[in-house]
Amino acid sequence: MDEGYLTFHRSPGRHAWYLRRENRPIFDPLTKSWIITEPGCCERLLASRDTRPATYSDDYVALEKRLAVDFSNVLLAFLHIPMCLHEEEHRKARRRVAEHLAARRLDLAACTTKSLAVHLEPLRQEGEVEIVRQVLEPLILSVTEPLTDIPPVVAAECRTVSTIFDKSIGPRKRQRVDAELGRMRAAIVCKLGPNASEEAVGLRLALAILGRDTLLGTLGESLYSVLSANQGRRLNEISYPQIPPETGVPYIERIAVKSFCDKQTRFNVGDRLRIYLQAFAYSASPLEQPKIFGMGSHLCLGKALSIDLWKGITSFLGDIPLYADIVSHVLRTDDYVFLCPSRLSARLHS
Amino acid sequence: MTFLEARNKVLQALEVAVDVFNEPELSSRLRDPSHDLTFAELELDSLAAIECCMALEDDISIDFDPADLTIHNSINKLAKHIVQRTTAA
Repeated sequence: MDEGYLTFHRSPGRHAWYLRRENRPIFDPLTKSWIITEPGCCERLLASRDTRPATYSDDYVALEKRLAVDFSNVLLAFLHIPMCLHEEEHRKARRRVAEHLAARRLDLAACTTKSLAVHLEPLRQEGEVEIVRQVLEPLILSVTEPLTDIPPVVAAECRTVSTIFDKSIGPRKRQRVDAELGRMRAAIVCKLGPNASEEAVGLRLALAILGRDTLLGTLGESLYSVLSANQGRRLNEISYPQIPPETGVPYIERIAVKSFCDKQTRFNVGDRLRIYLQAFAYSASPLEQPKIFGMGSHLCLGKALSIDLWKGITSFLGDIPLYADIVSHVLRTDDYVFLCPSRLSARLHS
Repeated sequence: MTFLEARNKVLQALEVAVDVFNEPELSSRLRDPSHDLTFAELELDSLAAIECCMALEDDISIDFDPADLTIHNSINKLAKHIVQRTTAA
């Protein structure tokens, strides 16, 4: 069985691939996409005005008609996710998210400090800890509550919403995503009141989607990367990187709006381009690594929160005089978009 | 589930999703287990792939992704994959 580039981002051989100096774009017939893994090329194509976001919303409208299935919650969310929108709609959605974040900056900072103190506690005690379920998930849901107005107890039951971006999942999973978004939508309306505008609700849904697996993947895989590279050292002896060394968002997909050339590669109108942000994470240049969060008008608006959480976690670990032996690390394999652990267990001991 | 049963389920799902069973020659090839056809040959587009998955999900009660049809990219390969999954379940 050859999954090719469908699951390249989580293949064990990916690090070696990225270390190659010349990675020209390759057209992959399996994903019907151009695979862009050279950092310079990724940066140029991300900034290019010759590409637009993948047609998430249009695809779901077509699917609703074809399958006679209601995806109204998914469609509402897509109207508010900046990375799924183009040009003026993209600018407006980014502005709305930026204003929302700015208005809640103090609440978010207070909640982050409190949540880190509460949810990192299992890492202080000797014994086995399952970092995904016991630490990271509750931490992320608690930290994002001031932004989403979704109680963590509700968000915890909605595990698949971030797979909304996944074009490779089937109808049942898509219906599950819509149902979970419906539960979140109801929780938001319950918090904001029955007169809450669709815009206010959609914005919060978008943030719940964007904040979940992206953070879980980035923080979980980065912790695994650092801990596995430092087996035999105590947590307070590890030199932690300032930027998370892995990204939960290994690639983003864009579509060529017209035919154009980048160096020796010609892209035709309608071509799909998978631009690998993972290329920046594995770059030898420290200047490239922060670009895992994108750049320019495609800079992740959650970058500051991601880095704050990473620094909070590593600062906490830096005071713990215990060893952390990795007991198990299992990547999630039932979606094709994120690099995200489903399980990360460590045995903490003196 | 046997391979032939799984293959029939794949054919039934395809019948829902694509309009290829009206062509007598192709139809007889489809129904002959010694022949195999890729989904590309059947011109299964992304929407049809999802519709095919939906028919399989309804029939077999297992989640199916279009990615399954990408990886197991022919009728017989998908039938073998279904046998493996139903056996494992």
